[in-house]
Formats: sequence, C-alpha cells, structure tokens
Amino acid sequence: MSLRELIQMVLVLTIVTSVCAGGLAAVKLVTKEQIDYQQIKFIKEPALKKILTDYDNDPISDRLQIVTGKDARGRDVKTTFFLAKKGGDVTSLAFEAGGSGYGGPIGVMIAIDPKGGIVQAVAVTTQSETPGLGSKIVDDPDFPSQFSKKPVSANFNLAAAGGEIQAISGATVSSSGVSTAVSRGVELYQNVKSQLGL
Amino acid sequence: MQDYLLMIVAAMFINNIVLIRFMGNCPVVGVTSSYESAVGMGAAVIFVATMAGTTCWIIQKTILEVLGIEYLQTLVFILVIAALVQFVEILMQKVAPPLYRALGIFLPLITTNCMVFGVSVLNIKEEHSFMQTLIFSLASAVGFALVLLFMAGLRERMDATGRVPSLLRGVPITLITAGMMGLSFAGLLGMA
Amino acid sequence: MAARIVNEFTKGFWKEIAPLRFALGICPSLAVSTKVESALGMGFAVVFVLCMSNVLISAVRNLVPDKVRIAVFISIIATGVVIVELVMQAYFYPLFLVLGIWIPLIVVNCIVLGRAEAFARKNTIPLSLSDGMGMGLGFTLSLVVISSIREILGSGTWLGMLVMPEAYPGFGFLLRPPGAFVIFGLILGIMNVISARIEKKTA
Repeated sequence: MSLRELIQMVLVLTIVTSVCAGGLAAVKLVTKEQIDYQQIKFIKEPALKKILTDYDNDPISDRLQIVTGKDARGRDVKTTFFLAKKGGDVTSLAFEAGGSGYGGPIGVMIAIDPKGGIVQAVAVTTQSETPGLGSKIVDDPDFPSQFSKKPVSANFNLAAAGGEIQAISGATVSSSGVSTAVSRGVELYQNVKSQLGL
Repeated sequence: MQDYLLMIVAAMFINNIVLIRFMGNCPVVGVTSSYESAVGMGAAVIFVATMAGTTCWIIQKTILEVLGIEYLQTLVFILVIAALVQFVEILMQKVAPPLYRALGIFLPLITTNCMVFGVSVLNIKEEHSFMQTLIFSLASAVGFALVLLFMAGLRERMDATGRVPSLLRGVPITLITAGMMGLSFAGLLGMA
Repeated sequence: MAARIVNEFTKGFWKEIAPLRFALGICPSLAVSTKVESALGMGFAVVFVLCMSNVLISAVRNLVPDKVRIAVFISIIATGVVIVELVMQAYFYPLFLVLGIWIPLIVVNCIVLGRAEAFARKNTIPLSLSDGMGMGLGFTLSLVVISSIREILGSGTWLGMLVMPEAYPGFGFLLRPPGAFVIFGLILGIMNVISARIEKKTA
C-alpha cells in the first residue's frame, strides 16, 4: 500500500464519517423537541392523567424545567414541572420524585396545588416491585389516596417512622419507597417554590 | 457470585441469543453444513463478541455519555465492530498464522453478524456494569457457538440418513430444527 | 431503460425475494413478526434505509477507494438507521417501543449491506433506487406473510381486528420464539413446492 493510497483512504473515511455525524446532529436538533414530548407523553401521561383532574390545557406542552440541585460530578440536575391550567390560572403543578423500593427505584408523580400548598394526589410512574406484593403500591387505590389533600407541611413518612402514612401490610419496603419519594418531592417543592414564579 | 452464575445460564440457554432473541441466525443457516466450519465460526464469534461488547461499553461510558451524544450509538458501535474485526484479522495474521488459516475466512462475515452488534447494544440497554458486560457478552457468544455446533452435528446426521423430504432440505429443515432446539432450551426455564 | 427500472423493481417480490429465497434478513423476519402492525413498521423502516443507502452509495460509487468501501457503506447505512430511529421516536413512539432493539439492528441486516455490495456500487442512481425499493418492499411482503399467519393462528386477530371466531383459543406456540422458526421453515418448504410447480409448467 503506497503512502498516497493510505492518505486517500484516511481522507475519504474522515470526510464520510464527519458528513454522516453532522447530518445526524442536524436531524437530532430538528427532532429533539418532538422526541422529548413523545417520551413524556407515553411514559408520564398515564400517571399525569390519574392525578390531575381539573384542567383545560395540555400540561405536557406547558412544562418548565428548573435546576433543583447538583449531581456527584457537579452538573446541574433538572426537574420538569407540568402545569395544569384552567382558564389561564394554574390549578396544579405536577412533577416526579424518586425513592427506592424492594426491587429497585420507584418513581412517583406528585400533584400540588400551588396556591393552597396542598398535595392533591400522587401516582406511581415507574417501579419494579414484586408482583402481587409490592406492586400493590400501584394496584391498591387506598394506599396512594392517603397522600391526597394533605398540606405540604404534613409528615409524609410511614407511621412507623413518626409520619401519617399507613404502610400496606406485607409491602413495607415498597410503601416506604413511595413515602420517601413524596417526602423528598414536597421538600424539593418548598425549596424551589420561589423560582417557579406562581 | 450467584448472580453471575444465573446470568451465565440465562444468557447461554434460557434467553439463548439465537433461539430466543433471534440474533445471528444467518450463520446458523449458512455455515452449519459442515462441523469444521461451525467450530471455526463459533470460536471467531466468541473472541470478537467479547471484545466488541466490552470495547463498546467503554466507549459508551467514556465518550458518548460524557459528550451527551448517545444518539450516535448505532453509527459508532458498528464502526467500532468493523474496525475491531479488521484489527483482529491483521493481528491474527501476524501473531498466530495457523489460527488465522483456520478462522480467517469467517472474520469478515462477523461484522454483519447481528449477534455481535446486538450484544453490544443489549449491554447498554440493560444497564450492565463492566463485569456484567464482560460475562454477558462471553456467555451469549458461547450460547451462540453451542447452537452452531448442535445444529452442525444434527445436520450432518440428517444428511447421512437422507430421510428429510426433498422440499424441506437445506434451510427449511434447519429452521424447524432450530425451533425444536429452542423448545428444549426453554425446558431449562425452571432453573433460573 | 424504463423497462430495466421496472424489472429491477419487480424482481424483489418473487424471483429474488430476499428472506424467502436466499434466507437473508431472517433475524428480523422472526423477531418482529408476532403482529402484522409491527411487521409493517419494520418493513417500511427497512424500505427507507435501503432506498437511502442504495441511492447514496450509487452516488459516491466512483469516488470511494475499493479498500475502504465497506467502511463507507456501513457509515452511510448507519446514518440512515439513526435517522429512522430519531424520526420514529419523534412521531411513532409506541411503534418505536415495540420494535425496540430491532431498529438499530437494521444496520447489520444482511439485505441492506448485501444490496450495497452486489448492486448499488455497480449501477446508476435510478436503477439502485428501484432495486432498493423493490427489495425493501419484498422484505416487507415476507414479513407481512409470516406475521399474518402467526397473528391469525396465534391470537385470532389480523392487524388487531378479530378474524377468528370469538371462541378460538389461540395457538400460543406460534407467538413464542420456537413457533417463529417452525412457521418460517414451513413457509420456505411451501415456497419450494410452488416454485417446483411453476418450473415444471414452464419447462
């Protein structure tokens, strides 16, 4: 293989791959917004529908991102807040918080009425708890309803830890995961309340 | 330790990459007409898939995720695999000529073996750690090689008896046999 | 010229229908054929990638040195695949979730690289486009045939509509991986019977 051939090969490959990568970056840029929307729509919307009741807008379009902390590497952690509006007024604010259960992380969507400072409802978005036991945090309607209509200042821990929530019998770890998630969520809400401008 | 053992059994048999996940079927149909070529292909794939799985994992974690360009995964992984195959070919030719003579002709075929690419993507999708990636890639490739060997052995016997209806000879009977093999592998389901 | 374009297009449907004749692209044919809907989605994704890669490869066929051609082909194909991935995520998210890993796996689909190597690098752009279109639609057709059999007999529906009597229990084996292999093998056997008949008639 002569030197000229080698240079030609490297050159062709470099040009082709950079054109490809450049083209893809452009496509990504164009589709990014829509992909975010779709991912939220199909993964978060079922939970949103469960907890938001009184609104006439599309909460997924009316969402805002706020920096709520830093991760281990010092990069910003953002939380997405979904705004439910009725006649232009914000009626609820929904966002996701996490705790850990028996089978892995548990994601919980929390709806808060920003004017009254009241937790309206909570719903589990993602979980991998044992079917039939820990999965009751999703299937048993009585458990999540304990969080509803309580002021954000309430103690959302389990009764065993001095809070107001009764654990599902046989699924204490999973219940505790949900209550931790809600407690964290409420704390986060109180920290960023002023930034939301509501 | 037990977790790793379970992972090995699952990747080799219960979720066999060929029979249950449907990856790498072309070589199972293509190179199982003789036992020797099945051994060669199997060995070459074990080698390349393990290297590709771990290399792709490292690149994903140290480059793609750090720069936030995970969407280029497909493009980057396939180029890594193609380059790796080239590299292995050249290295083998220089260092171990007898091995190269035995496996050399199978190496170019591996680039488009969906099993190698599939394992690399699965490692990322299922959020494996580095150790898990290594074990999963190796065990999946061994599972692939086993199917290749079983199939080659079965086909040699089927050809010898000559009792396969002429219309099913070749590819059709290979696929039906693969289905039967998948059923027997599924019998191990209770173990994990 | 026009006749050749038509010819390159139609050969993909019977004479050279890739999965059923040459056992190319078996993996996706087995994996995404439990439902007709996912088979169609997969088929059109492959049609797009195949047309795009054939056209682009044909366009650069005289500029690329022989030794790096495979790397260049793979880059072009992978670009097409990522475009499909992004567009599908943006506009057909449920389909994207169903097809999952099989979308990126189009990159190693033997049909796509096979057509680049065997056809597009030797032919003009219009011919390559019609070849890609024909081969892609032929692949889609094979997928629809396999998935129709599996969906109708396996779960009693076709494209989600109930076609079997209500009481039909569904032959669950066909929906499981081993069932896919057996059905595909039998279809290939039937193809052999039909082509043997046709050959006898013309001979």
